[in-house]
Amino acid sequence: MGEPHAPERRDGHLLRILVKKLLSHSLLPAEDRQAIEALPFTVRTLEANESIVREGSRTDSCAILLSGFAFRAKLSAEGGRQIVALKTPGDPLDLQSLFLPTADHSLQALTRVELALVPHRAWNALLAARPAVARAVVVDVLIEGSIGREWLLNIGRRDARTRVAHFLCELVHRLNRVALDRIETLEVPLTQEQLADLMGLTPVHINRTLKALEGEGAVARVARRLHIADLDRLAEIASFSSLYLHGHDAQAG
Amino acid sequence: MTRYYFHTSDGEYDVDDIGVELADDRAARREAIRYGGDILSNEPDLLSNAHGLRIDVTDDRDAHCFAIVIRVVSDLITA
Repeated sequence: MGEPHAPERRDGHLLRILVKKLLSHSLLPAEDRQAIEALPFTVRTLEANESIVREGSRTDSCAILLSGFAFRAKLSAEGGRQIVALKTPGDPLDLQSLFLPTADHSLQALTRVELALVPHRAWNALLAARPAVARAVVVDVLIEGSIGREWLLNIGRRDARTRVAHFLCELVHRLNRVALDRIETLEVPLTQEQLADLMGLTPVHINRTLKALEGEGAVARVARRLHIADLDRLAEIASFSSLYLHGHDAQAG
Repeated sequence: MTRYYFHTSDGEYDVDDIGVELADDRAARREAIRYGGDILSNEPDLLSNAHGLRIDVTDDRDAHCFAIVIRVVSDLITA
């Protein structure tokens, strides 16, 4: 990954979304926030389905998702694909590569994405110099682990209607971490096929499930786009608790 | 590739207006069986109605390809 000739940029305002994401779970002093915004990076835009990191490859930078959605996927030997994580704007995509250089899964664009590629050496220098940033990075990785555990429960044990409702609640909560204004309703930026892949359901079954949720007034579908119509209703259906997202749960080290 | 539509009847008729692109009728049959299995694992009580579950599969020319019918028959045996 990387464009060797692209000049490194230091437009801090683009990395503000990363700072906001980290602040959603960790306290960071002003000078640490400024240091993150001063990280050098190159901007890269990819279209839907393009690869960000391939399984087995090594990278020399960590991508930050500035806009759009990305996912982590693993493939079985027979070619079956399971999406194991969804990444939303503001998420660092590959902090793992700072410590474990060989990618154990693939990272792909779900929609058109804009990435900031921050070189490993800049990250390492920042983490060595600023313990609060290092701590926030650990917390970010831990929360992703917590989300992964919730997904195991969601896909393994919840029925289709509850599963989809739970996922939609999570999506709104996660988008609210970096949103300017609080989101209650939302046009879900995923097709039914993509939603099927995320939920481990067939597209036809997703259609049936969304119809049921639509009948309860929880979602609406306008010209095949899915809208969240009633977040409280969805949360009720899913028995949703945001505990596992650990918003504002971590204290400064 | 053909787009197949999977309509369900379980007391009420539910038209699939989105469908899925699949290679051929064989693939559509497998998809229909999986779909029926998914529905029933989520909603096992569905078979307590007299109609059972029926999935009618049509293609993009609106031709009826086949149907899968799943019913509980123990009542008939003991009747």
